[in-house]
Amino acid sequence: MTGIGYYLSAGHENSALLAFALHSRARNGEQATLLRELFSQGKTLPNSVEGAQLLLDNIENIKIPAGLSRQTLEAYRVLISRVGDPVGTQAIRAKVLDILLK
Amino acid sequence: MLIIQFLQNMFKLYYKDNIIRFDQLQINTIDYLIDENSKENKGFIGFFDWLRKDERTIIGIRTCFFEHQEYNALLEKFKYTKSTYGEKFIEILFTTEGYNPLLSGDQDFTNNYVYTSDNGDYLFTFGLDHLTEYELNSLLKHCEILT
Repeated sequence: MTGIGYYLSAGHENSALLAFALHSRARNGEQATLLRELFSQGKTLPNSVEGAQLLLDNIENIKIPAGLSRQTLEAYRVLISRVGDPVGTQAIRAKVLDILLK
Repeated sequence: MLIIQFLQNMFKLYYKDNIIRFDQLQINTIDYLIDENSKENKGFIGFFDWLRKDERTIIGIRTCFFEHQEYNALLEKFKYTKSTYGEKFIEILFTTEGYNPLLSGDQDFTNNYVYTSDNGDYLFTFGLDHLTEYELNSLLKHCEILT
């Protein structure tokens, strides 16, 4: 296994974080910006759990922002399964990503 | 950038538009050097939620560091922080008001760096570029502006 798949494999959590950070911060954080753009689509309350749910409910009309790489989406999906989720935002984002990554 | 200064018995909030010397911050003539871990992870050491009273008003922040990070243990020792959700997260409220949890789920994740001083005080930085003008203005009411 090579590339980000290696970093995201079991036992390489710290490396996965670093890989994601490096990837998302490349080119002045473009990937991070694009991730935010993805999660902000169609939301009336962009920073709320309800906003995340609206994104999921509207998934058929969601477009992945140009330039946002599949590697970034995969890395983010892995990371959020390994962190706490105080009010459920990441759980809903995980469902969104699972659909987009099919 | 929001900068939270963690002192022994109180915290202070600062706003700095542009950090020129990345490895070092100076507050009131005290130098703070960047923590190597947050530097190596390029400011991505977990997620954070802005705690909102309403859609336009920020009254606090909740940090959600990755579990292997040691920052929770560092911050929970201060009397003015609050551990929540089974001590996985740390909340700092800027006012005595309560927040609306349904409006406080950003899970934002950029420019989260840590700095330390020789006398053991800490600075934590948080990126602000995700906030609306209203949210930023509500936050700035609690901040000292650094030039």
